[in-house]
Amino acid sequence: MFDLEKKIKNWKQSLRKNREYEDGDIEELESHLRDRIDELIESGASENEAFQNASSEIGDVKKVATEFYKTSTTKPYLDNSSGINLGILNNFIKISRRNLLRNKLYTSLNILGLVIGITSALFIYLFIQNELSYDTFHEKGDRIYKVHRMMERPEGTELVGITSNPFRAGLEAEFPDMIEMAATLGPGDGVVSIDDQNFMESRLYMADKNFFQVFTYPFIAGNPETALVEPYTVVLSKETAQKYFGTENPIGKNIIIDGEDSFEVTGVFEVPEGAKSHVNFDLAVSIITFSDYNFYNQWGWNQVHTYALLSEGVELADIEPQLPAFMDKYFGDNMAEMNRRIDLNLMPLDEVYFSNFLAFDWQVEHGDKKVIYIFGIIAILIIVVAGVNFINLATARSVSRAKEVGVRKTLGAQRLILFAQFMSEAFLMAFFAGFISFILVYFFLPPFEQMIGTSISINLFSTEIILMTISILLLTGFLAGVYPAIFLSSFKPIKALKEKISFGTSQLVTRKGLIIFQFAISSLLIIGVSIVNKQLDYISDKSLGFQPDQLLDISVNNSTARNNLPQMLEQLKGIPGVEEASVMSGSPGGFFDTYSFNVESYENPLTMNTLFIDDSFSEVFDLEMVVGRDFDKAYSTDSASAIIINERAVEFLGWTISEAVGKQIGNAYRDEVPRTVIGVVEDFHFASLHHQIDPLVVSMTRDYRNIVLKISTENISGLLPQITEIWNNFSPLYPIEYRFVNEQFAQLYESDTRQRKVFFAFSIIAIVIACLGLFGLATFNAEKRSKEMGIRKILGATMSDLLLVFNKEVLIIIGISFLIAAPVTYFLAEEWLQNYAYRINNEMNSYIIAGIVVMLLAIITVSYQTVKVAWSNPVDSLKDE
Amino acid sequence: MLSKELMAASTRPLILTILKRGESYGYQIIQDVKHLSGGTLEWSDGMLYPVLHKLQKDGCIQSKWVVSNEGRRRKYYSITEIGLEELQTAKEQWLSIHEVFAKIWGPTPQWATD
Repeated sequence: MFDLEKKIKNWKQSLRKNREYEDGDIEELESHLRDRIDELIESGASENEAFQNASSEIGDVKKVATEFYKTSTTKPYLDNSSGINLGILNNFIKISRRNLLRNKLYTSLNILGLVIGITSALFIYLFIQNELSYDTFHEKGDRIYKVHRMMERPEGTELVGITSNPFRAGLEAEFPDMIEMAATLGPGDGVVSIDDQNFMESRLYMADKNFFQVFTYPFIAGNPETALVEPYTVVLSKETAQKYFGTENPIGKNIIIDGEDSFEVTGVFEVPEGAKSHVNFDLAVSIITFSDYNFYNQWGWNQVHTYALLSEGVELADIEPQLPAFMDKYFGDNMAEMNRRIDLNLMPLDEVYFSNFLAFDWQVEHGDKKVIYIFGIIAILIIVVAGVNFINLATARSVSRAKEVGVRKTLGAQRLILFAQFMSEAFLMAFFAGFISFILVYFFLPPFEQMIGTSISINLFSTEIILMTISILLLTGFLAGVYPAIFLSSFKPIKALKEKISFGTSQLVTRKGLIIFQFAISSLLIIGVSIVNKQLDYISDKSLGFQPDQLLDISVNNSTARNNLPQMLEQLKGIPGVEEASVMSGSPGGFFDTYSFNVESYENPLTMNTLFIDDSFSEVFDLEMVVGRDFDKAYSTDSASAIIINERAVEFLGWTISEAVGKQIGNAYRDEVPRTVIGVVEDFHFASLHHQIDPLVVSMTRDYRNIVLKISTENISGLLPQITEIWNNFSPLYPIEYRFVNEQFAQLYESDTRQRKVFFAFSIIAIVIACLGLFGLATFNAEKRSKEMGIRKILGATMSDLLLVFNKEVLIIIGISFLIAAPVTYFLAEEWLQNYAYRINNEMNSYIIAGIVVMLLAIITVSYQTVKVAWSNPVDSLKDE
Repeated sequence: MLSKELMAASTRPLILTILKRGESYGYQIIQDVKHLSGGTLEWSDGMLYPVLHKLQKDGCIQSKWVVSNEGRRRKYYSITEIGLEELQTAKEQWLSIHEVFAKIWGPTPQWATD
């Protein structure tokens, strides 16, 4: 059967072999051919005859091509006068495009590698920009400093995030010339009631009158300078105002907080679109409302964040030398008595977000600069790996391009022109890849945001990002193109035309060196992933000191439920499957109170974590007493006069375990009379494993906000409806809010888990790019050595012999790269593991597994090509020439 | 058959003349030439296109892509001012040669009657 279309296609193919034809020319000739064929068919010819006649009438395509060449080329490659001008640039692009189209495998391997590389780098760049955008929206941001206390500890200097309320006035009074004003922000929560509606607000903060002058949140109603001057005033976020009052003007309206006091709304602020802040609150009540409270006036009562706005022209270095004197004045006696110095540290606002090492930095959002560095390095490595691919593939192809260079040089092309030609090929490819990457980033931004768990508030089409992309592309194009361009343009024309260009050893060494480098990076990332995985698994598996998967935490979120607690507990305990029921103030893996304590032999109060609980403390958590006894119903005095501390607290207070029992500790806020330590409980992790266990004080003070049930894990789905039913009986208006404590802990490691995913993804990407490069090289290598393979096969080599021959070299290369990567990774892993209070050992098997994985990937990549060539009939490869 | 040299010399004015009558595309131009010459002018079809391109390069004609009713893309050429000028010059030259030959090869050469 005669296939006309196929014939025409083939005919077109034969035209394409002639470089003189440009795209439009071929199409024009095709249109001619078809017109003629149509006419011939109409006059009775068969398709075959019509095609034969029509194409022969057009004539010898080569001759026509020569004519085209004469008409289209005036001055071939011989422009010696002005070096590179625009016409030549145009010519470069045209020729580059043709060269790239002619070698589809090579071009697609290169572009694929570049696209993956550039896309990853762009994503990482967006992530880093996003992290760096924290706290950048305040007009006076460069003059704002957060005030921290600084203490020398045996483990090193400790910075404490929280300070006390009097710091604000104290700093303003002592440094009138240097500090324009100071501001206070105190984290907290509460229940807000409007008419009959109640809202649980977890971000209800206290702020002083200066706060909104230091931090210039835009106000959409009210005056930021006067909003919090009066007691019983409150400023709302735009979203909160809408939630409470809808479209009504909120200014002048009243809200009730914690069912007691009424606050007047005096302002509504807005967080600018996309802005990020280290503190996030929905309501700010004027702190002066609490001027009668102890915390408002006492220097030792640390529970707020203090900020200093330095006067214009004042540098940190101007004020720093005077800070010790300030502390001497206000804390001199205290420090002398504790025999420990406390100093002040002023931290620039732009560093606050990244200071995740701060102790007691309540409700402050922190990022990790290390993560930024790690990701930044990964981005650079990925780009480098992609660039190396380019270099390797380009030089590997140099054999086939040697003749081209020879001919061009013979025709008078200067080296500079050839260099520019090869560079333009590199840039063309980089920019094409960049274009695709940009589109990919645009479409894959939402899944990426999900993976890293934050929304990226950066506009992809901003000048900054576009300029950055272009510079990445220029850099990639340049780095990847410059070496092949120098190398290729250096061929001597006679040698290139007459002889087969063979590679000097230096060439081969460079190429192998680059592969070693690529695989060293890939190995490094894979070992890294393996260690990160192990560490995070270790953390999530590490015993917390109690069994979180048996615990169910129910929030006592309303007063009806609170008033009915004892009866509700009785009924809950009655459910078969509920092993223990307890009420407490904190929630394991979640929020714990911190109170100041008056401790025997210490004059000033000390801050420690607190847990208020009933008498079932050790039963619920399955904890052992190290010394002394647990709370006991038999001792009626326990609820008012007994206290239990953990081992860490004993250490913190400078006691020994044996002398702890009998000591006096009183909660400065809650206890009228000091309590007696009746026992020391073993340490358990009530918070995340990132941190050491903190000192904890446990008492039976009646302040219960959570019911914690210890349940049998066998029939949870059967238990939940029964628990819910009892809750509904006692608290008909408020639906039950419960969570499993093990899930709560899992949430603490969410950011770790996310980083793990991101790290994993980018490592995979690096190894994929490296394998792409290896694949390309293996292809060329296998083609080049196809004769050798043919001979080997004829002489009786089996497939496995051939595979061995080709893989041997690769295995040596991978081996070397691994030897380079392993020690570097070891060092980096040690650095990273230092972050964790509880960490794995930097063991060998991560390295061995990663080595095997890389090795296997490389072997598969190389063998695919080898097998393909080795399977072909040796006659085919040997007969030509 | 015309000689190669004469073919080459006459192609340009011939194409320009055809295009002066209205825009046209490669295949049609060739058909016109064949038709007009009654078969005495036989080109290898493909050779027309380099000439068209050269003419365009010299500014004598211009081109545009048009999609025909059958959906085939065709490159249409039309003559420009420069082309008209060139055609005029060529016409004068060809006619003057023609006149000389007509005189020499006429039924009764003038010099013979003298």
